[in-house]
Amino acid sequence: MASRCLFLSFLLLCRGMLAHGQTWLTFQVGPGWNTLQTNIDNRPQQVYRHGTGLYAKLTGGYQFRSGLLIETGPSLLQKSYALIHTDTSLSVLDQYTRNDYVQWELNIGFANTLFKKIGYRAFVGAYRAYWFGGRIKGAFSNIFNTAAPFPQTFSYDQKYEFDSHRDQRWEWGWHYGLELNIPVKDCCSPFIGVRVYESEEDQQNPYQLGLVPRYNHTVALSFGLQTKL
Amino acid sequence: MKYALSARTWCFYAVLVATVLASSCRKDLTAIKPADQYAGTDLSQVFDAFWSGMNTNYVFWSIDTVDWDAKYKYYKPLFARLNINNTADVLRAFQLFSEMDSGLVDSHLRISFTNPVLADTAFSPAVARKKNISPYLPFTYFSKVIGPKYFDSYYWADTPVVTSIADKKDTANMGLMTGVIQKHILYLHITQFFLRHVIVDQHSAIISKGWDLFLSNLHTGAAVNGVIIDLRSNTGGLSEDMNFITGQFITQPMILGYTREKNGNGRLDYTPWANAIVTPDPGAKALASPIVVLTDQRTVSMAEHTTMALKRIPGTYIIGDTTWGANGLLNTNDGLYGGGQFSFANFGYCYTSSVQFKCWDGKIYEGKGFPPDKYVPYNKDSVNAGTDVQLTAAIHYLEQ
Repeated sequence: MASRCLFLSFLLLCRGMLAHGQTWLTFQVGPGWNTLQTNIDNRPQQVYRHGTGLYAKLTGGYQFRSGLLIETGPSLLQKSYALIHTDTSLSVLDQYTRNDYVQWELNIGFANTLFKKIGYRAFVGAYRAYWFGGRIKGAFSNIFNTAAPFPQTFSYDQKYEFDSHRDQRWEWGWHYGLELNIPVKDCCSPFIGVRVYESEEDQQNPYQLGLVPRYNHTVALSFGLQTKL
Repeated sequence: MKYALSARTWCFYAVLVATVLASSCRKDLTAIKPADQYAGTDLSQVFDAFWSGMNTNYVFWSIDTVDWDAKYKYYKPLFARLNINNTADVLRAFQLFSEMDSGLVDSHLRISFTNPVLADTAFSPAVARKKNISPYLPFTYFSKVIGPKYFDSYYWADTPVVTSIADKKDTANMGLMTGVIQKHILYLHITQFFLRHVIVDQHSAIISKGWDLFLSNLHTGAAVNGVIIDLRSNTGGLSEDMNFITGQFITQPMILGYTREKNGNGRLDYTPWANAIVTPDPGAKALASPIVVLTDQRTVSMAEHTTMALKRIPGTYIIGDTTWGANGLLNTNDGLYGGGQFSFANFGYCYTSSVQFKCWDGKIYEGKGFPPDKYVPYNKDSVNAGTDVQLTAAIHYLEQ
């Protein structure tokens, strides 16, 4: 059903291309907040919290006279999260994970103006992402360092090492967003945007029975500049 | 520019967004049920509880060759056919548990049962696999047989030791024997690694006396040409003895291996490897003479860690047989570590390692055992004749 709707949107865009439109290029950057959506309720002393990361995106787009638009381009998004051990009286088992993704997005949307001065664009689309790197930083109780006081904490800050058996490095999902801009020149305008990325693909390969999936849910705030071509 | 958006376009977008939202491909995010929260009203539930507990708590999935998913598919229907109120079926369940776990690599693993029919029954895959290995050497073998035959002078003592491991108290005898062989070879044998516990916590004067004697000979005694640390039939104990004993032979902290624990529900969710460190004990001195460690197939757990740590000291030589192969570390099931022991469905208790261990040489010896430099196997005829071929080999090595 989703693919049928995407196909219909494509047809609609083709129809609109008969009319005169406008091509643009944008670059935007900002912070992102990612949450790992999973369930570890069976581990009462652990909880996942959101993490922050960088969001950067380069987009090319075309806007039809009707206001309908299409855009595509690469983006870089850090999808981070933290695993916290809530009962620190027992031990430490905390880890901050930063996962670096490169994405390619294809979006459709529409543009209009508010109060005749502020332009806005709303998008919905899909993305395909590749998890190309990461870093883990944390600490846990070191059972085999019996120097006083025990337990000693082992701290680390290191590159994430992928496990091809466990890690699903490709991810697809859908996203939506809104951008507000104020044209300052005829050819160039700054904008602020917010986008939400919802992964539809488990971050883990289905390597075992009884595996609870992990999905990235990311909100990104961006500041950018749009240039008309 | 100002654009008008047609009603048809608005409608299209509304349908599109609604469709995408409704057609989410996400899988179910239901939490895993902890093994101890299954009611255990039937054996199918008991099986589910145990299987799931192993899924989340077992720390050796990264190296274990057992296909745990295949076990589920095969054994689940068999358990489903059994009746928990039928004694024969409960006994059959014990057989099935034993079968399905027989290949698991964790050599500490022991499944015991609280069900009345199976009370005082337990299954250990490693014990089942090692039915035909060399026998356990009792402390009296050391104190009464080889002591008089090989030593110029020796001292031995044993005492009851009360330990609290795996949420339960246990009492066993810990023995220590030390002496001098051929006037220049210092010898130490302990049956378990509860030495610091016995001396510091239990204030055992007789064990303290033996330990002080050993240290006195080691650090201030006459010229020591070699030290024999006899870990044969040592069944392990507390890791605090690593600094207390091995820490006598080093002057700088030393990495003896690496540990990691579970940090998630997935079988392959692990923390990074942490350094396992032995720290010099106050008063330790560098040892100029070589160390020989004696091991046998009953050298277990902490005794294996100690063998690995001593092996890292230059000049150390291992003589005897390959050790048991139980290198995981244990702790109580209080959530301190991400995996380990658990009870399941009011039916049983799974005693399993909490932490995975890797030797300083980068190898994991779980289920395999740490090999000696010189293989001198147990010899039943020699033992019966009062001749210790392994100790003799150690003495010959140090006399070279």
